[in-house]
Amino acid sequence: MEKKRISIRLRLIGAFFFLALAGSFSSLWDVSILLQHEKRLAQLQTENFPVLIAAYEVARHGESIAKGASGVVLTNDKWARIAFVNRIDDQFEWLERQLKVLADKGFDSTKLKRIEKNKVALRKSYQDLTAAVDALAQRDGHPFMIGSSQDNVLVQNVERLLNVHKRDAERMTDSMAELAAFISNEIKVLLTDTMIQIRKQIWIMAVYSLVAVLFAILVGLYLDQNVSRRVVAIQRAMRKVVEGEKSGEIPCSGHNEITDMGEALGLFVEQLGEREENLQELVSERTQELAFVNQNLRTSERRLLNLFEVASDWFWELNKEFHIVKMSPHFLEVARSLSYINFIEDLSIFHFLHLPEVSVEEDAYKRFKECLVSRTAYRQFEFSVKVTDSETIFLQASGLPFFDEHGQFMGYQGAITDITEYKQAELEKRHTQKMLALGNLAGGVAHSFNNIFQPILLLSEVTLNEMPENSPIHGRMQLFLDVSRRGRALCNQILLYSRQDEPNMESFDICRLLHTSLALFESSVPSTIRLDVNLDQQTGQIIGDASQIEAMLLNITSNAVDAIGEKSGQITVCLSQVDRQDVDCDSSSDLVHDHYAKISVSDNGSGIDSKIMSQIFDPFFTTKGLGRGTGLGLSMVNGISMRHGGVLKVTSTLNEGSVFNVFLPISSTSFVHDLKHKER
Amino acid sequence: MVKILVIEDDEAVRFALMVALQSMGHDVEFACNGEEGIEKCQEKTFELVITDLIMPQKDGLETTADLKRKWPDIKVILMSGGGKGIDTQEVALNSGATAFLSKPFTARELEDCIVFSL
Repeated sequence: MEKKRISIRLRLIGAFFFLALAGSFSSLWDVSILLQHEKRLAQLQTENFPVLIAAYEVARHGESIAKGASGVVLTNDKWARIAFVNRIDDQFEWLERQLKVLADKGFDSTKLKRIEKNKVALRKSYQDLTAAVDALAQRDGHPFMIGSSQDNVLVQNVERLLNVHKRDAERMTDSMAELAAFISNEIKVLLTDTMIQIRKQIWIMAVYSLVAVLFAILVGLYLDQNVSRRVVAIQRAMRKVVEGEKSGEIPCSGHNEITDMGEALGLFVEQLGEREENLQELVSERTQELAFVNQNLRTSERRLLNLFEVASDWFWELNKEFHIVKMSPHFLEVARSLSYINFIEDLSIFHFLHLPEVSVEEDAYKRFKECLVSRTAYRQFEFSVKVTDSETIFLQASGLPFFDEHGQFMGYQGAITDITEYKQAELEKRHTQKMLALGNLAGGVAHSFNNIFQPILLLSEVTLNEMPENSPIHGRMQLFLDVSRRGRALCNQILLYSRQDEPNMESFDICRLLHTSLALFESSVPSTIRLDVNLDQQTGQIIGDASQIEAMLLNITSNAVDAIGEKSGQITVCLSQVDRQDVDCDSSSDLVHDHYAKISVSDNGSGIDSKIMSQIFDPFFTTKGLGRGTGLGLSMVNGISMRHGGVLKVTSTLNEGSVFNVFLPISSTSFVHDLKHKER
Repeated sequence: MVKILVIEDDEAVRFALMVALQSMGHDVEFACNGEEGIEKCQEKTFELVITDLIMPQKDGLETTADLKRKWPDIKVILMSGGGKGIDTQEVALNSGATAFLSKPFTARELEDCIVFSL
């Protein structure tokens, strides 16, 4: 499209160019003709016109003089006559000067001569008349007045001279009219001549222009035929080549530079075709190679990306300012969940580590910072991120610095491992070890105490038996016995708590166990407390140590009694079967059984302060007074529940009461069957 | 009256057992450890041996096993203050003991256990 426009433009430009050229030539011609006319008009203006104007002035004045002279001579007013005479004298002088000018400028001398003759005659007759009138006035002694003079001779002379003057004035007037007619004729001739010349030039110009237009059209056609069409043909051929046609033919006739160019182009296109074929072969080879390489590259990229996304380790990259510039999607998710980080992409690692949710040990942070500053690799740098109020993840980062080809430091690339599980396992292991050590210690202490209590208990009992009841020391001995019994109870609790061996597992009906235990318990409940029992007999069998379950139940119910104290209150014990999803548990995924027995003990006693809620399962933690609680009860309850694969959940409101829910797995019938089979 | 041998390393416990058993009217002799107990048994015939479980050198379980091997008719009561995980009746009874007493026990419990064992 663009090329077509250019060819049209080319034609137009050619035509306009020749049009302009022709126009310029004809204009130059016209201008020269007009210049000649202008010269003539200027000549007229400078030469003929002043003459004509002077002649016109002469004619006007001559006539005026002719008319005025007789009037002046015959006027009665002396002073007026003197003024007119002076003026007429002046006018005669002016007329003479003008005539001289005309003569100098070569005005028609015959006409001038006649005018000169008339003027001379008029002036003479005027002077004669004036002299005669003056003589008459002198004779009469008063100014001349027609009909008033006595001297007839002088009067007759004046009348004769007056007639002569009149005749001369008429002659002068005639010659002046003649001059005026000549002048107007002369001007008319001059103008008509000029007009004719101009009109003629206009026609000439029109003809020249027409010829120029025709010539321009011819030039345009020539250009179109010989240049534009060929250029267009070449352009079309080139377009075809561009569009993929491989023929090298350029449709050109004749023999000139453009057809030469067309032929050269044809040759070029042919060679191009050959080279293109070679090139295509080469390209297809290279394309295949490239496709293969690309495929490999894509595969490895996908592999890498998959690894990047699914790897349990997370990757991150720091730039040279230690800003986090890249990170794995998982880590980004974690990071985004933090309230302070909406701008994680432009966050300095130091800033990140100082976020309130992120905790780092001071020494570790120091070592990490030293590594970054010295551009060395950092390994196993541990920190933790508090993702939610209840969840903290522990992370371990390692990374290497990377440099560009000039050895310029570019940043760090590294991986982060989520070591939360490991950390938790470590914590649990530590806790277990601690509890084991504590259990061993407690067991050892209890053993020693049992040996100490043994003689006290035996001797106090024997002594008490042998002592008359009215003895003054009977009461003291009784106290010995009671205190040593209490000591024995404490030691038993400690031993029960510290017992690390597997409970004696058997299958039993949980409902029956609770029923028996609660019957015993009921007898020890004060009369101010009402005990409501609601046991579902269809709850089923559980596998466990019945004595431990019983101890657990008694512990919880005793706590309920203690929580109510001496006030009146109510304890409700319920037993029912619940499905796994109904177990009130933090993570139900930890539960492996389908059905659970729910033992619920609720009271309306003092409740548990939320501040100490997290401590109630700690061994030796008690709120009861000295000698009333060992601080081992709930710890033991929790231990028994855990050993039985159960869940213990406590909800409590201070001064309103507590609810202890124990969930114990119900054994499937097949499991019970297997167990019985084994026993046989 | 029963001829009883008490094997116990703790002197105070030994004394208390002596007082309690004598007050019940039994004939009581003592040994401080398992070896001594077996020697005493060789010198004299006892109907019942009450032995502590945890003792230096030869412990209660070994002693019981030895006694039962040499004198199968002899009755043995094992007593233990708990600890070290060996405090269940089952372990004690597997060694050949007739009964198990968990320290500290009362005179009444002791008497019941003797009656039960014989």
